[in-house]
Amino acid sequence: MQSLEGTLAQRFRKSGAGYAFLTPWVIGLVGLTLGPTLVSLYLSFTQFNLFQPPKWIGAANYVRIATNDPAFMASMGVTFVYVLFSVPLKLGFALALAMLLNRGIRGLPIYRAIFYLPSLLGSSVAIAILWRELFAGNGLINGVLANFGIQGPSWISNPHYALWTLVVLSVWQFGSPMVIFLAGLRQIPTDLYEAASIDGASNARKFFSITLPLLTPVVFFNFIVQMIDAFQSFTPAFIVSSGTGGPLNSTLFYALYIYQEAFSFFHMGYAAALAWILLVLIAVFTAIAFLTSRFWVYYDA
Amino acid sequence: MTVRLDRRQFLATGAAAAAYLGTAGFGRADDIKLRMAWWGGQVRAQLTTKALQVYTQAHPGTSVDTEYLGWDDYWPRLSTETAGGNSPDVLQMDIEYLADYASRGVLLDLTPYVPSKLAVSDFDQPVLDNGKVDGKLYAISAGVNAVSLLYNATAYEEAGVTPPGHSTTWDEFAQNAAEFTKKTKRPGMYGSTDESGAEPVLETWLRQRGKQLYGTDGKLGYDESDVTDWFKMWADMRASGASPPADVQALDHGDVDTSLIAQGRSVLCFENSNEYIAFAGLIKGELAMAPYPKVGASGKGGLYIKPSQFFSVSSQSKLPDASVALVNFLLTDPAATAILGTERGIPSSAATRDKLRPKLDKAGALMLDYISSLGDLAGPLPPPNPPGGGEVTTALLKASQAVAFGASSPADSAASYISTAKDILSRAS
Repeated sequence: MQSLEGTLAQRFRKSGAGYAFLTPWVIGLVGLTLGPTLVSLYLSFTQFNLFQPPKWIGAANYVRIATNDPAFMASMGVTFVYVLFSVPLKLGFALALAMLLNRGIRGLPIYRAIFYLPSLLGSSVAIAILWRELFAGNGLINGVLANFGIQGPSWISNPHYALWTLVVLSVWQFGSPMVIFLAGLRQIPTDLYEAASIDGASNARKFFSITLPLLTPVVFFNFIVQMIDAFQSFTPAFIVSSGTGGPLNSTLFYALYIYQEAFSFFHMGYAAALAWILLVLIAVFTAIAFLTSRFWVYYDA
Repeated sequence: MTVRLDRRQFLATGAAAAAYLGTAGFGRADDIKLRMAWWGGQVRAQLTTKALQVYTQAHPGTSVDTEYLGWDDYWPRLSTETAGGNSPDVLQMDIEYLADYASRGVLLDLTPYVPSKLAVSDFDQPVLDNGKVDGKLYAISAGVNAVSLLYNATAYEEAGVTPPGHSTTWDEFAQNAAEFTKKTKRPGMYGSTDESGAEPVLETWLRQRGKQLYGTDGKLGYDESDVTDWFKMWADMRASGASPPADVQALDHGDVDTSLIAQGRSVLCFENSNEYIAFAGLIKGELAMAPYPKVGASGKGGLYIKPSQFFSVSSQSKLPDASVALVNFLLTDPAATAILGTERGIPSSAATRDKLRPKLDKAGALMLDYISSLGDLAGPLPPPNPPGGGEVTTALLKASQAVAFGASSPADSAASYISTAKDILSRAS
């Protein structure tokens, strides 16, 4: 008993400084993340209009989401389509460009910086406003098309096209996964390629048998990060649709729907319930990704 | 450890301390910092800032920080600031949201300040009553207006089409608009906008048929068959080319800059009469005013003279008396009313109106005369919007877009809209 306590005390003294340095971060974690998260869980079981105290109503918010909310279904659909298309396209472009840049071309740092720039600025309000003007009825895109004699529709105010302008905006920001892919490609030993060339492997064969398998950890990482990011996307949808969720709810991203319920209609408790559903959804998808990763992600020992 | 001060240091420190305390004390006595927020365009911002300068010069030590935004951005910003306890002291308020904000205890009850601190005794009583919720005065009208068609008279002349007037019916309106679209040489310009999703236009049309938006009990004052007829009317106008297709209309986001008339896509807009000033500078041609079309030749006008917007004081304000004084200045002081003029609407005080009329420029005179010309066309004020009213307005827009984009028939969309609206109202109460 004595020795155990002694060990504990000794261990604490040894790492006491470590814990002390951690406290600011822990305070932030509890105060800014964990605390509000738990409060929002409580609020999701209440009716709260922000100006008066919350009123407990049990699971009524969740029941309503499950049974009586067409806007919820619409925004789920829109968000899923957005994630389903923007993430693979983005990663595809990122990988393709990374492979191109990995050939050791001159000016690599410049190209890398140019391609990375959109992902730095892309989620900003300014770029979203620019995008809205670009794809408007008399915007630049239609101006360019007019030169070819094509009368383009008003992309952002047409429910068939509005979402795709946002997908394009997301794919345009492929720079950040591209940079990570580049780093991953650099780590693949070149002697593998040389050996394959000696054995007469084609470029395609080299890609599918050497590059892709050894890149799977990077692909996995990028996929998780981009998927989580896409589910939470808000600013582009808000700006391009001017906060309305687009013609006919076609750009009603889930995060935008939460914002509308909370700040336009003062249904704070309902919005908290919606937010928790998103949390659980993302957690489930991430868990699925992790669990299935052992079938396709290859970590070399 | 003792601190050693030689005499020079002591005198220097003492002088500095005395100076600091002296100036601080001087500032602290008078230092009033108010915050004021409103929605509107550039013209309103310039006029309001000018009026505020007069106030701050007359009251040294008082300063007013201003925030102004477009209509769409103002409300989320205001609700967020209020929720954070950071509401502006003086804020512009609208009838659409008045019940929401007042019933949530966010606005200061102004009843005790009348008439000693708020000299509003000569304001038109019905208009003053419109700022009351549950018998308490929460907002004071900054001007009255009525809905009106603002149209580009020059474009009508060019196309050789009769512009709308005081006796135009909806059928005539639709015909003229379709004719205009065909005849005009201005590219991409339509004879009307698509107002199927605009609650003020729906309200006028309902009143002409003897219905209204909300009853005094806070429930919907109309039903499915009304909305179906309404959607059908606009569907016909879209089909005939009188009003633009859905994707063109969806570019209009409710503010002056994105409006179709400012973009040159429509010859007219359905707006409020006091917005004449904001729009006049944006179109290529002469802007003129007419009432909304009527349902039948002998039909009622359906319009009413309403408070265009209000000034309110936040209940969270730490300087309620100073805020009320500022509101009083803006609404009743001759210097302020001369500067603000008719941009927010025709002043509801008869005395101010008389003082203003000779000084008014062409635009102001036009608006004032429009209000006076309405006569029979204007009816009594409707009951105020109940809580949840803002959400119902959004639901109407979405339902109208479902019809406009062909996703749903007028009858189906009307049915789902009515049930959504009833659901919203029962949730909000």
